[in-house]
Amino acid sequence: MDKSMRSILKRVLKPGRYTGGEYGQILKNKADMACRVAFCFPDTYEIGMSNLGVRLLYGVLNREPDVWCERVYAPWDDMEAQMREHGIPLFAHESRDPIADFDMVAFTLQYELCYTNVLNMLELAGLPLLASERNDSHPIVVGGGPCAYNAEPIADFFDVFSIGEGEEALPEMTRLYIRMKAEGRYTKADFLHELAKIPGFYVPSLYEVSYHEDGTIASYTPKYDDIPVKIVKRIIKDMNTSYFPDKLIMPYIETVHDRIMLEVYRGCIRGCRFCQAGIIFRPVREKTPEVLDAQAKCLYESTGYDEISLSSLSISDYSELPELTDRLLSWTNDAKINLSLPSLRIDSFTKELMDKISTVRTGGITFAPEAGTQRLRDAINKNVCEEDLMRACRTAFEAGKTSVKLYFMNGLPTETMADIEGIADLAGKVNEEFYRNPNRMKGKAPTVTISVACFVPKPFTAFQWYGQDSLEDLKRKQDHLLACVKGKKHIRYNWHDAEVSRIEAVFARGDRKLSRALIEAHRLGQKFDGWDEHFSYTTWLQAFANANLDPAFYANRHFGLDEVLPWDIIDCGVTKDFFLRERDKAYHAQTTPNCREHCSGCGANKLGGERSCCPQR
Amino acid sequence: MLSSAVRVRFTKVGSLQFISHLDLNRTMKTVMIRAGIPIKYSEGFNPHPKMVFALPLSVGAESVTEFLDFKLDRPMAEEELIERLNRALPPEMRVLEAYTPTAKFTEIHYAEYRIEDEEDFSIAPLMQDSIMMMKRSKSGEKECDIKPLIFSFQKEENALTCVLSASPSAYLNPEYVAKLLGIPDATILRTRVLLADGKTSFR
Repeated sequence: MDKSMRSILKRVLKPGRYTGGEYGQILKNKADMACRVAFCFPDTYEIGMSNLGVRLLYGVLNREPDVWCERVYAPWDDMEAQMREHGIPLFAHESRDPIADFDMVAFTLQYELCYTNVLNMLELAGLPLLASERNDSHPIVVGGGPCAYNAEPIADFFDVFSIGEGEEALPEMTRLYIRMKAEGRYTKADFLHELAKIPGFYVPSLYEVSYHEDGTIASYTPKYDDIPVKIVKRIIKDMNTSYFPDKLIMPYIETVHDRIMLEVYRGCIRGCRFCQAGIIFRPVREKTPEVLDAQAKCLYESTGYDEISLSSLSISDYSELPELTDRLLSWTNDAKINLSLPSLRIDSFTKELMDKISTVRTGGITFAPEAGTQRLRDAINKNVCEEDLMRACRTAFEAGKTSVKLYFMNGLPTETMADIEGIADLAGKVNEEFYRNPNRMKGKAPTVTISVACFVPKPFTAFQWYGQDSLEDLKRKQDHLLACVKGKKHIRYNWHDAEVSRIEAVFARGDRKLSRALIEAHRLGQKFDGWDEHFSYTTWLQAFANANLDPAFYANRHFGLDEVLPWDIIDCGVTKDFFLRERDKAYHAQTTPNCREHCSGCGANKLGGERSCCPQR
Repeated sequence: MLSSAVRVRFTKVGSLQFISHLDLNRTMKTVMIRAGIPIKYSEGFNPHPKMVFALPLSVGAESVTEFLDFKLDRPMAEEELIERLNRALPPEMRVLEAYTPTAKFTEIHYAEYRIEDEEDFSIAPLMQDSIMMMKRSKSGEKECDIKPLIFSFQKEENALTCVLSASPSAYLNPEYVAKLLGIPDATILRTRVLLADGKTSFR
C-alpha cells in the first residue's frame, strides 16, 4: 500500500470500507484482460456487500477469462474529502486502479434515492456526467437493477441499461465489446447500436421522446428500424442450472447481511398491488431442494459463515419449504449453523415452523400487515386477515417472545382516517393478545412497535397511475395515528419521513426531464439521500426550482389511464391490461387469488421459465 | 501432534493494518470453520468458538508476530493445521508456526516495532528526559509522560526500531512515537513480542 493511500486511510472513520484485500476477492492479470468492468454500488460498502445480485454478477462476469470485474462503492463523506484533497480519483477495490480507465462502468440501481450518488461517483471518477459528453475513449456506463425498469430520470447519464436479470445479458455485452474491439470496428455509437439489438438492452439515446404541451409524453420513437420498439426484460429460464457462487468475498468489517444468502426462488405468487418487486421478478421460478442443499453446503464450506438466510420475496411460498428445511437441518444443527427465514408471511407463521427454525435469536419478531383494516388490506391485495395476525402473535408470545414489530403503510389508495385508526386498534389487540397468554412470563411486558412508511406509487404496479398523497395529507395521517396511540401502554410508533418518500415518488415515476433536477441537486451537494443526515428537502425543492420542474407533476398527479407512461418503453412481461384490472378491483376492495390458486393472466408466463407456477400457454 | 491447547503465531500486514481487533476476531471465526479446524466451542445457549488473542494490534500497524490461542476437540498435526489455516486465511495473514503453548500471555511486557518512513527523520524528540503527550485511555484523554514506557530505541537510515511497554497496565501505542517524531504516516511494523527483560522473545 502506498503512502498516500495509507495516510488517507488513517484519517477516515472506517478504513475497512476501502482497503479491499478480502478473502475471496478475484484478482487477475491486467495484461491478459480484454474488458475491465467496474461494478459500482452507489451506497456504502456495508450495504453494497450485502447485495446478492452484485455477488452473482461479479461471479458470472469473472467467469469470463478475459474479463475482470471489480467492485466500487460510494465513498463516505470523510473519504470523499480525502480523495478530493489528494487528487485521488474513484478507484476499484481489487486493483485500486481509477475506474475512468476501465472499459465499462456498471451501476446497480436498487433505489431511487441513490441517483445523486451515481452522479457524484461519476464526478469522482473524473467522467463527464452526461452520456452525450462521453466519447469513444470513455468507459461505457451501464445501469441495471430494479430502478432500470423506469430509468428515464437518469437516462441522460447512462449509455445503456440492462433490463431484467443480468446473469446472461452482461457477459453477452462484454463479448460483443471484445469482438468489436478485436475486429477494430469499435466506436461507441456502433457498439451501442449493436447492443440495442440484443434482447434486454435499452439504449436511451436511440429513442426519441416527444412531449405534449402539458408535459406528458406523446411518444417514444426508435432512431433505427432494426432496434425494438419496446425492450423486453431478460429472465433466467432455469434457476437450477443458473450460476450461483461457490465462494464469496468475506468482508472484514460488519456488513448489513453478513451471512450466506441462499436464493431459493425468483418472483412472487402474491401480487400485492403496491409491490413492484412482486411483479418485475415474475414469473416465479424455483430451485429444487437438492440443488439448494448442495449450494448451501458448498458455501458453508468455502466461507465458514455460521448463518444461512433463505432469501426470496416471500420464503413461506416456496412450494417445497418443508423438504428444504428438513434437508438443511439434517446437517446445519450439528454444524451449529443458524438458519433464518426472513420475509415470513403472517399466515404461514406456525408453531411447527418456529420450532424448526430460529427465525430470530433476539426477543422480537416482525410482521407486515401493511394496512390497518380488512377493507384496505383487501384493496391492496395483501390477503392477510386479523385472525392470521393474532394467531401468529399468539404463537410468538407462547414461544417466549415479548416484542412484535408491525409494518404498515400510510397514504395507500382509497385510505381513510378509519384505516389509520385501524392501525392503532390492531396494535392494541396484539397487546391484549399478550396478556391473554396464561403462561406468559410474570413481570414481563410486551412491546408492540408500529412502523409506518409512506406509500410510494411505483411503476409496474396496479397503483402506478396513483398520485401520492400530498405532504400535508401524509403528515395529517401521521399526526392522527400519533394521537390514536398516545397514552396507550406498550405501543411504540415510528414513522418515515414523508419528504423523503415524496422525492422517492418523483423519481420512481419520473421522465427524462428530471435529469436536469438531478444535475441541479448534485451541483447543490446532494448525495446519500437515503441517509437522514444527508437528506435535505429544501435543497431538493431548490433543485426542482432551478430546473424549472414541479415535483407534484411526478409525485402527486394522478396519471391518465391512457397516458403514455415513462416506463412504457419497457416490457416487464406483465401487461398493462392486468394492472388496469387489478387497479379496478382495488377500488372495489376485491382480492385476487395468488398464482398457485388461480392464474390471473398477468402475462409473465410468455417469458417461459422452469418450475414456475404458471400454466404454460 | 497438537492435542488440545494450540498457539499460532501469525502475520497481519498490508490492508489488514486497517482491520480492527474486533473485526479480526470475527474474521478468525469464519477462517476456523472454512479451514475445518476442530476448534472447541464455548458451552451455553449460543456456543461460539473460543479464541484468545495476545496483545491486540492497533489500527494502522502491521505485524509479523501475532499470537492466537485456542483449543482443539481432537488432535491435529502441526503441519496440517498450518496448511489448512493458510489456505483459509486472506493472503495478507499467514500462520508461521503452531505449537502447544507454555508461556502465558500475561508474561508479555514489551513489544518491538519498526517505524519506517520514506524520508529521513530526526529522533531528537526521543532524547528528552520526559515526553509529555496527550494519551487516550478508557477514562478519556489526559497528558502523561511516555518516556518511561519507551524501553529502548535504535535508528538506522529511515527506520527506528523501538521497544515499547506492552503490559496491560501500561501499553504504549507505537503511533504516539510516530506522531512525536512528526512522521504520522510512517509504516509501523510489530517485529517482536518480549518478556519482562525486554530482550527475550515471547513464545
